Amino acid sequence: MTTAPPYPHICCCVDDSDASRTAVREAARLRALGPGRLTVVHALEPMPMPVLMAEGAAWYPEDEAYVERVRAWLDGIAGEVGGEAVLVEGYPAAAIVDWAAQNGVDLLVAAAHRGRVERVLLGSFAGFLIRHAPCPVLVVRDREASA
Amino acid sequence: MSGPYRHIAACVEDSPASRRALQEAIRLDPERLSIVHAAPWPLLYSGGGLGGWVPDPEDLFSRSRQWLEDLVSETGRGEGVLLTGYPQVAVVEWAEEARPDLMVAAAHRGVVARVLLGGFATYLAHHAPCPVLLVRPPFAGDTG
Repeated sequence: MTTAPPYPHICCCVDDSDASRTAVREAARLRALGPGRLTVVHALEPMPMPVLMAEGAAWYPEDEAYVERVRAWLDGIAGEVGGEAVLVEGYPAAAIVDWAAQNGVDLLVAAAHRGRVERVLLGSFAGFLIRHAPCPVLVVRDREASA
Repeated sequence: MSGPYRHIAACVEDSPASRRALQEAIRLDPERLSIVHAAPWPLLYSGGGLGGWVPDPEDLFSRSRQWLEDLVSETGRGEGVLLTGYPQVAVVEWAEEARPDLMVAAAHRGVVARVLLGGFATYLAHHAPCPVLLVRPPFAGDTG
């Protein structure tokens, strides 16, 4: 049995779903096995529809306040498990894969969304991750039935 | 003391990517290792009426069984589990009974396999009764 942790840098992807809470717990459990780094990453999608003002200037609704709220929320989640919060911007799956590739992530942890609507909207997230991640991906389902 | 998952099931077929998945499962040092292979039903061959060749299912499965036995003895640990049917469904059904703590599989199995078998990894990720670890094949030029 090795004493080195199986994954020195674990990165967990979160959104505001229950399933991603389960993913964070699993990531924290693996992180607790040895010394290492745990990052909790959330991708902020670019504001989809800027409101065009006079003279072509674009106004983004509640831009700064919104980003601040997201940052505080993410800090809260990371703080609970002693991890670092990382907020990236861009198309979520691609932005996280990029970040993981540049930051030497050894394991990505993500939630699989179960609901039919969620799967259509977000299921492609896990799919993209699986196909493009630079490291193994641990997919955790929201455990409704398991003991 | 052993690794983070007591019972790990590694899903294997004959590809470098799934060898890598098996290595990852071993690296996590489970108390119990199941090496699971699902041999698909031979539905892809045309029937006798068209003059096509129909393989004997027994022959096909005995070859799969032999391959799996060889892999298990080469691995030197774990138990082989041979399933038949539509692979992802068969594997998930098995897992619901056997209740592994983690399933490990290759992240993708090449274009041809993906077209024939659908997204094995994606299906597993959404239906397995436990966390699923998906392992990529090595990048070209990877040293590890």
